[in-house]
Amino acid sequence: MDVRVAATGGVRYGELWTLGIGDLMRAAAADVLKNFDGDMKDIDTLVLSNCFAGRALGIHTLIPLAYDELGFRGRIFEVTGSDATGGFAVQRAAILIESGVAQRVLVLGVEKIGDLLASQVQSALSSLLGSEQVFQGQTLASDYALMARQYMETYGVTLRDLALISVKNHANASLNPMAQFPFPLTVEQAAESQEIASPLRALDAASICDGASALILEKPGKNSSPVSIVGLGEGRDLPGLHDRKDLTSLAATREAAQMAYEAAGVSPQEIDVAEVHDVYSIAELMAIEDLGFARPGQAKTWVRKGRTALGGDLPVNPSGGLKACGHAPGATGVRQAAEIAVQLSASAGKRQVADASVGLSHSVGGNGSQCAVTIFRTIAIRG
Amino acid sequence: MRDNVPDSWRRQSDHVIPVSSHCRHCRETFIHERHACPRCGRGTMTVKPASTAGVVESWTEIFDPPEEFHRMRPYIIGLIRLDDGARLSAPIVDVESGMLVKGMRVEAVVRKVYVQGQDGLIEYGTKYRPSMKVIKESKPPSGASLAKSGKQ
Repeated sequence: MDVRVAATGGVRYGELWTLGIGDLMRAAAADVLKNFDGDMKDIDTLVLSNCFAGRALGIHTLIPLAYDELGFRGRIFEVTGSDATGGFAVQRAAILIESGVAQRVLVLGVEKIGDLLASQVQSALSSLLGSEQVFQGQTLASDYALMARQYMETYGVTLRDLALISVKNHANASLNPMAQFPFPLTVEQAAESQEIASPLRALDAASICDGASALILEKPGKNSSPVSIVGLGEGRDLPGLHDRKDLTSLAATREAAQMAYEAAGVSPQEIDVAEVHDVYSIAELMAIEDLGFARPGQAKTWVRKGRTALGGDLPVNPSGGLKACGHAPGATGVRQAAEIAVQLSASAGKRQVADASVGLSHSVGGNGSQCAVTIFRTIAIRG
Repeated sequence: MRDNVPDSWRRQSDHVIPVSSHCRHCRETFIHERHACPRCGRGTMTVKPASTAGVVESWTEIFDPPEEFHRMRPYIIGLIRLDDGARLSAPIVDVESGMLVKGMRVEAVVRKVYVQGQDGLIEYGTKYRPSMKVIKESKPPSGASLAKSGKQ
């Protein structure tokens, strides 16, 4: 596969009280077009990515809104895939181009969830689990907490190790003007923050917020960007944790990663930079192993030694990740892909990973019931 | 948001009299009625009433619940291995989280789960409680402190 990332854009995530979902869509579209050598008329297909508009706003399809707000008159698709929707939307757009159906696609991820009360946001997140789990009051945090407890017991990981993930991601975010929380955090602050679902703490969790991100993808041409999507992978798993054999790993990630690596002809050791789905700190620890970077149980050593920090041998979440950029569920996967494209085009400013030419983005839906892994690389421009 | 009478009726039986499904091919047992085996995908499932007792494998205590459960916080969700081999996740009641230990015997009990608004249905479901009286003086190390030391 060779599908080029022509432009990236979006708004800074956060509690965006003055912006409605239509405003967010327009702002992200305007930003990506600003970075694009062309205008909306050059786009033939729009792929919309959202998770909670039905729940938060009572809008069950964004297609009429996009038609109206953006004045877009081409083909419109809408993708769904829990809070991995953005990752799947990028992949669907790439498939549309690779198949020849589309020439140039705008991928637009948007979420407007901040109007809900915190407890209503927890209800929305719980709705990503199995229906029996929802019935009993289980939460996304409680599922990751059960995984964290199992992982910590199995591999001798402490709350301080988990805190190191949040600390690293905040440090990266302090170099990212688009991050929701661009300030440093200490291990003590993270490890001693309020419990949300034991053993997980408030500062192990990403904030669920508003946001919008966009990408323009196109077929390779004479003046194309050198950043290419070269491999797609997707994986799924049973929605109930109790049905899974192993709680120290996400099978959906392993499946998606294997498919993406094979499709791209790339090994995990060749990845220079990765954006992973750190919805809770434990999720990043598991991702480092499930994506094949570290062997099972070894992620803690990587994190303790700073190997995943900026300047380490495999920087993970140079943007600050979901933890410090904010997690706008329907948009995040698009933001992750955009960050990798920015890194590979060496335009990430202070958070630039040196000599990055192969990158990976990883989006997980819910408790690991679905996953999208996308591999990017820079293609040398022919002279 | 979840106030839905027909949906509650459809699911009521499995909520108060849980069943488990045994795959004749994989020889593994899963909680609830399954039409396809979670492991092999085959339809070789035998459904029977689930065991009413089992042991605690793990647990978490929820402090930040969905709005429907706000009045109950904090509450415990356990991973429980029933005697018939099925594993499930469900609330553990009548015990403080600090008293829980791995391998503790628990038994099924029907309890109120959720009230659908002021005039709506009261939904009941199966929760699990320790089979024997838990005495506070012989308190084992708590889950939280163990997790902190990372030795659990």
